[in-house]
Amino acid sequence: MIDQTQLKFSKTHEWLSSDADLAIVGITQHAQEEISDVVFVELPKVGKSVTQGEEIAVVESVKAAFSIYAPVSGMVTEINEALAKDPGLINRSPYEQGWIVRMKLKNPAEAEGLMDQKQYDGWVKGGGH
Amino acid sequence: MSSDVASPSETSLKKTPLYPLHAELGARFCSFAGWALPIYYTSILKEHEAVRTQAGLFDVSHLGHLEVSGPEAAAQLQLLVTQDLVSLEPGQAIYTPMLNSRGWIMDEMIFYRLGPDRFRPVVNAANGDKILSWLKARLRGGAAVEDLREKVGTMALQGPRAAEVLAKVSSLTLERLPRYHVTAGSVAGKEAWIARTGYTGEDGCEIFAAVEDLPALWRSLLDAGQPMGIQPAGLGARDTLRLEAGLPLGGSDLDEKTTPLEANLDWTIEWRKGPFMGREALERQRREGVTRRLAGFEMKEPGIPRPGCAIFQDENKMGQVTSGTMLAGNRAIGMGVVSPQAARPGTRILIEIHNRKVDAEIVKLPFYRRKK
Repeated sequence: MIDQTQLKFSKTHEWLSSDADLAIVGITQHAQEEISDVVFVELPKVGKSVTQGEEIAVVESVKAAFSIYAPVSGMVTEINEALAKDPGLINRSPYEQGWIVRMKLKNPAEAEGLMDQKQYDGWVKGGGH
Repeated sequence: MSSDVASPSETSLKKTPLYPLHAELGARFCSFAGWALPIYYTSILKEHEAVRTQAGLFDVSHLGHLEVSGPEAAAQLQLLVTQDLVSLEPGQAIYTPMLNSRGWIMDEMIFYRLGPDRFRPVVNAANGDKILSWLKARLRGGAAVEDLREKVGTMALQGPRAAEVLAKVSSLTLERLPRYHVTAGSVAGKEAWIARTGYTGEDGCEIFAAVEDLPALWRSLLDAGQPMGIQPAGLGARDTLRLEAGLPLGGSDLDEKTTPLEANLDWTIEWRKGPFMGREALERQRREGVTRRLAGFEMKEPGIPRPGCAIFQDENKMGQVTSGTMLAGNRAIGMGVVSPQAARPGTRILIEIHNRKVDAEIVKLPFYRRKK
């Protein structure tokens, strides 16, 4: 369902899969490893408008709460309801079943400013956070 | 993704003798009371589960071993803690707060009576210096305190299969060591004290050994426990296990101005013994009543309570969360300070989480009690 080679990444470890002005957002493998056991996800309301870099969800582990930021501006069109029952999907399948929201982008050009896989891997290796 | 939890800058932190072994096992470290300690090796939930169903091994060498000895040790210590140490038999252990004159808990600890004239209080890492100087200032001829913090380390072997694991490396069996008892013995060829105590709500023991023997002991216990599913377990699981067992954590659930009556530790006060430090203050508070009380609660709606979250009853803020987590099975639990009227099980409260007020209910502690 998601073509992982085409993903875009934020410096705060969210991924974005976009097609024209529609996108899916989740957190990266590296992020889920850092967070460890995800036990709760607080999702936004459908229809919520966010600007790039604004908090869009909260992912909680046993120990702590982590803010998840919108990698681009837009409106939430769908949330991953499956996370309410099984938040561990984020750990087990961060790029597929553990997606967090779908968005309608306000300015698709913003996505172009994000990193590709190679740039992101370099960012993580360099200790980026 | 970001969190306000700082990762440890490990340079300035103390390390236990087992630090390299933890790193070898792939541990993630956190900073706690000046120490770099493993927070988990695989996952907090998995390690929690291992301790509840099999066995877990914890490095708790950050705990501070002090030793008070001398012919007057029992009589003098009796004046400094709330429990009755004079009636404690050699080979027994007891959990007790140590109060200042205002009745505030300076630290809570287990006192092990190793011999007629020999007591071993094992204190919280953050309070070691404070308790050492407190004791030094108050013990007189006939009793003296020794600082063993650099010499002795502690491992906790906990879980329903802990006894089986120990039996493989020691001639000592837990069947012969009742709860809250301690004995000298040999574990994997090393001299140690073995105590049937812990901080998880599970059966098991704590092993005190010379710091140089800890690495060999750690390896032997992990090897011996492999068939029983033993897991090295970190501070993260230790915290969720103790919370589930309803045990307060000094520094979190007990601030420096908390009395045992406010901390739900009434059971640790031996009123029938004579005078002890803080007694007058406690008697006054018992007469006048407490104004706040530590209580356990369970969330009734989705949300995870975290330390510092405000607790409301109707529109009034009456306290805050001091410990909280979510366990497997979507059970969110916590402890917090509430008004004494609200501390009764069944009281509905609201907890403010991420600017939302979320339903919760006061429940009787502990959240978990092991099947005997």
